[in-house]
Amino acid sequence: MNRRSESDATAGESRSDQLVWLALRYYLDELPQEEAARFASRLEEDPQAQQALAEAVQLCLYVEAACQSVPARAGTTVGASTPGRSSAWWPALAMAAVVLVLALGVLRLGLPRRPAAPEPIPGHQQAAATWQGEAELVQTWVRLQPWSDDAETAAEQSGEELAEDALLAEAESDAMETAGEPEAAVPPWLLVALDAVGEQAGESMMTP
Amino acid sequence: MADGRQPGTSEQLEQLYRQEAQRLHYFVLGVLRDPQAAADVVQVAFARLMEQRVLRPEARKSWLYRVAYREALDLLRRRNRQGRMHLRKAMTPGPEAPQVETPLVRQELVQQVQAALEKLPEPQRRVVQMRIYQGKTFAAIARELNEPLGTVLGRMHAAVKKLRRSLQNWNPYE
Repeated sequence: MNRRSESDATAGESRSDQLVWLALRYYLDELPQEEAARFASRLEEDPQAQQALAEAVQLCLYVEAACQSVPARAGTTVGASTPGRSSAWWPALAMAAVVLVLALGVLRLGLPRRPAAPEPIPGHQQAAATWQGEAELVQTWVRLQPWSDDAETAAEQSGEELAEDALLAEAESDAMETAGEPEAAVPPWLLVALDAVGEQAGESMMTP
Repeated sequence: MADGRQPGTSEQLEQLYRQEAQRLHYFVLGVLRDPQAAADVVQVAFARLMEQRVLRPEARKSWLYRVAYREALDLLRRRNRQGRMHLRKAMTPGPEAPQVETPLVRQELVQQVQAALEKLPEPQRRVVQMRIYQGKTFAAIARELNEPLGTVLGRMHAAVKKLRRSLQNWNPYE
């Protein structure tokens, strides 16, 4: 008795699979003309066929959405083979360039702390002007590169953020300052590393 | 051209209407099970399509079904909400909840489908992606993969069966 109901259920599933498969090919225009016409006339009076079509179309819509949202997750193959996705390295390259030039900017900011350099002038306006100069340097440097518009926009945004960050940092440093000049928050290892980068990059990067 | 339409747009729309209106109607009918409401949704979907003049012709069909599906789900949810509100009104009268547009697809269902796709064997998953996501025909897929058409169809059929089993308990109409 049980075996019979199991086989009935299996037969029902199989019929349902066949109907959805038929409906899917009908929706995708993959049925031969005669078969498509037969299925269309069946749809007029068969609610099961209508439901099968609804299920097939929904499956397609959800698969489309699933494939579209997957590229954000790394290391999976679903939806990864769509053309036009290989340009994701451009923003990374632009960011790397911005970080490099920013590092050079930090080096330049750190230079006044050395004996040979002129004394830093305290005050918000001077610090903001220095950072603004760095921001402009970043923008100019990025603009000179043969990159896409996206990279340029990203660099411009970074430049603006840089100037804003400078003002914020300066305000914070003033608030914490108890006496004397504020300490520059540049770790020694960074100065050593940036010296090496600066020598490789040449002086042309540092002069306006 | 005089009314600002792109060349051939009205002819293409007319052709799309002739080709898709009936099929779209049956799809919406399968969702709503209400012939009059289904007819209304189809009209709304085509009216929206006419406003979308910049849509690429090859993207129109998919867009049309997405819009119709959203309209149908909105209608179902409005009905459910109204049903519940009739009951609530009898108990506590108050202002109606604001209408919020239904998201086309629900994120948790998309994640279920993603998980189901990832469980498929690679050859089946590839055919599903190429046919549904990239919109290639089975014949084009067979040529590209250098496989017989029957093999490609068999993979798709098997994949659809497995996806249905994986998603047996889902309910997009909630």
